[in-house]
Amino acid sequence: MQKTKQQIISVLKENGSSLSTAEIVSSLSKEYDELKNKSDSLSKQRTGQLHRKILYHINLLVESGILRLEKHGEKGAKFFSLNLGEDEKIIEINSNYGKRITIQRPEMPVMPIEGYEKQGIVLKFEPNSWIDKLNSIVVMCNQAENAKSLHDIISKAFSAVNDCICLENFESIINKGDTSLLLKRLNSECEDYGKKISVIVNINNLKQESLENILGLIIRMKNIDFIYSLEQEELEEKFALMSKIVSAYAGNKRPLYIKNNKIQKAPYFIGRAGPYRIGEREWQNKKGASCIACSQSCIIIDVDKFYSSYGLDVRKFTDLLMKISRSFLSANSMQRRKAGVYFKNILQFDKPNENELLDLSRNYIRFWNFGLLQPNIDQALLMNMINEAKKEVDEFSMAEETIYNSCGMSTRFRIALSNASKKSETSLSSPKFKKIEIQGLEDIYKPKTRKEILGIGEVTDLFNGGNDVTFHRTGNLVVKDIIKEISVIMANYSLPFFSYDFKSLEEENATTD
Amino acid sequence: MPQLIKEQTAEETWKQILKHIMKKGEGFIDNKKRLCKEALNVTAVIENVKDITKPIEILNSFDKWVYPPLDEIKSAILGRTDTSGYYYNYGQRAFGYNGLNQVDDYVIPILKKNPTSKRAIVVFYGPEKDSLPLKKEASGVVMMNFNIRSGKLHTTMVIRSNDMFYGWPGNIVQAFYLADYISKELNYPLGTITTISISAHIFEKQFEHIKKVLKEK
Repeated sequence: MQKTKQQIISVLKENGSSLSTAEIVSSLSKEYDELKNKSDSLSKQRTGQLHRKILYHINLLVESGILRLEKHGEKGAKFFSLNLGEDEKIIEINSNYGKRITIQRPEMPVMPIEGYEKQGIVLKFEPNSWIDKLNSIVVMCNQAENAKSLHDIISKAFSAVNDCICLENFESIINKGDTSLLLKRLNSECEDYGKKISVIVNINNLKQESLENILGLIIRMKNIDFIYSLEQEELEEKFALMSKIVSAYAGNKRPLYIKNNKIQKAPYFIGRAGPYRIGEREWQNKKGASCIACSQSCIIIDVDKFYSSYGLDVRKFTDLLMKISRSFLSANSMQRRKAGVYFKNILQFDKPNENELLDLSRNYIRFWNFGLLQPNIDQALLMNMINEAKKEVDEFSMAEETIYNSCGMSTRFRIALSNASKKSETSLSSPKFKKIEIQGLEDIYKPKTRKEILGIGEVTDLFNGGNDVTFHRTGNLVVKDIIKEISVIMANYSLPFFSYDFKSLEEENATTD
Repeated sequence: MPQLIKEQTAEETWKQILKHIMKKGEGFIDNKKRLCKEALNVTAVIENVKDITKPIEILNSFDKWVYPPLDEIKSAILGRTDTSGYYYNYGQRAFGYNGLNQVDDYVIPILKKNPTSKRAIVVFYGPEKDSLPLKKEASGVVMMNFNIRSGKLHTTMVIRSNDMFYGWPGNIVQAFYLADYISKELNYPLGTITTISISAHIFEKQFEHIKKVLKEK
């Protein structure tokens, strides 16, 4: 039986197009070929038998998805062809009639940024999977039944992502029971696959003891970052829990990520490339998907290298961003057409909401060393340069969406700006920007620091794809003081997301006094 | 007022449509608060489909935007799968909507059996999806019809809402690709392509570009 199926496939492979049942039978059976033109009843009976036998196998191959019914010919004749996508070919049929397919990597289209790439000004993030993988996705944990089913989803998503998976509403899993095993497995899988996981925990919905039980483990996870989402008032209400969290992170010199839930309810998280953010208004209109793409393709600009070659030139900077935008457009065009192949694993588990996968996604332009708080860079000119370029990029994106929509190829094409992380690419220039250092509460009130934070706030407003604002904490570790500082930052500055870096803390025992 | 525009080439037809709406179109503000000029029931006939991509070439010459590449336009109308990268897919609706392959199983067999048939229709608009009150993106092309007359395959495309500057150049190429596929199966040469645009409109933001296309000051 298996042999007949292999023969049918071979005939169709050799022919290269669709064949009728009679043509297939004729190719496979000499007897049929000899009898088909005879008019005696015995010959007719025998050709009918042979026809039905082959048709039976053809139908099984159609059912298993290897063949497809291409069309109906004259007198009801059925035409069949191999059911293959553009980049697929059958290399083996197993006993369950499954096909093994190979998917070729897409060829990178010619892009108008290659000159900048050669100068090291522009870098594609993860160039080998720039088109066929997403940078980051958000998985809705509250739609997973338990830790095991969540792990199944994440395992499938790994193959479609080249940077970070964000687990939104993770408290819904923590509250259900012990997540130690899940976290250990995920951390180890991230190591194996070179991925990051960001876990967003809404403090207000969390069972305190559930988190306390795993806090020791959380701070040891190298590839998993927890983001604590809360409002300023909750810092006081959940003071005991927050003290334990701050003490654990500061004591182990791990960065503490805070999302201000009053400003940003939508996911805001951190990957190797830098921060990711989903627009607040769009998030409110999100439908039922359990898996949502946040970023499709990413380009990093080493802005310091750009300044060295072209200066602080608004026109030239805008030209560069427009060329990047055109590159995204051609990459997205390829990605869109083969989304069903590239993101098959995610689309399969998210039925019937699979068409929502790219509903909120954007392409990312990330800036490295762009001169923020750099003494020799005119800050007003810098902001104006980015602002002007952003306006043109936004206009271009809108025009492209309109064009695609108007010719019935309705799609989404958006570009977000954000900062890049040094970890995203080893060849980036040495950091020149100034760090914000805080020794205590007084520092936050100093006019100089205040001005700096407000400047960062302006950039955060401009960077619609997210801005990683880090406060480098120096001095002694007094947990109560740090919580107070976080509270003041949350109350006085419109920063939706920031982190505390404790690497420069003096080596002393933590106190919660 | 219905309007009939009939020209030899796609370029000339497009320019006549734009001229007509610029002159006679009535102003209105659409649901996205954009100022438009609109003419209802514009019928445009392209007699010769040889240079069907010319309007797209003109649009690309502006260098301000990037029109979808022809291979993407082709795969959008002839592709058979529901690609999640688009909100809806014309190809999937023609070749597999609700399990129906309208082109291979109906249009081609119907015309093979009866070349003068008036039932060679492909419907793209799906009321159960596209007529939902909160639906944002719904199929613009309602249906296509194929008629064999005087030894040629003539194509008609009905579009409910038609951006005549950005959209129409792509629509006629889509009509061409599907007609070409059918004409090869039937062995009839291509005849005219007719579009019936129920709401034929242009946007205020495009006026300046349209004047350039029409070489007006």
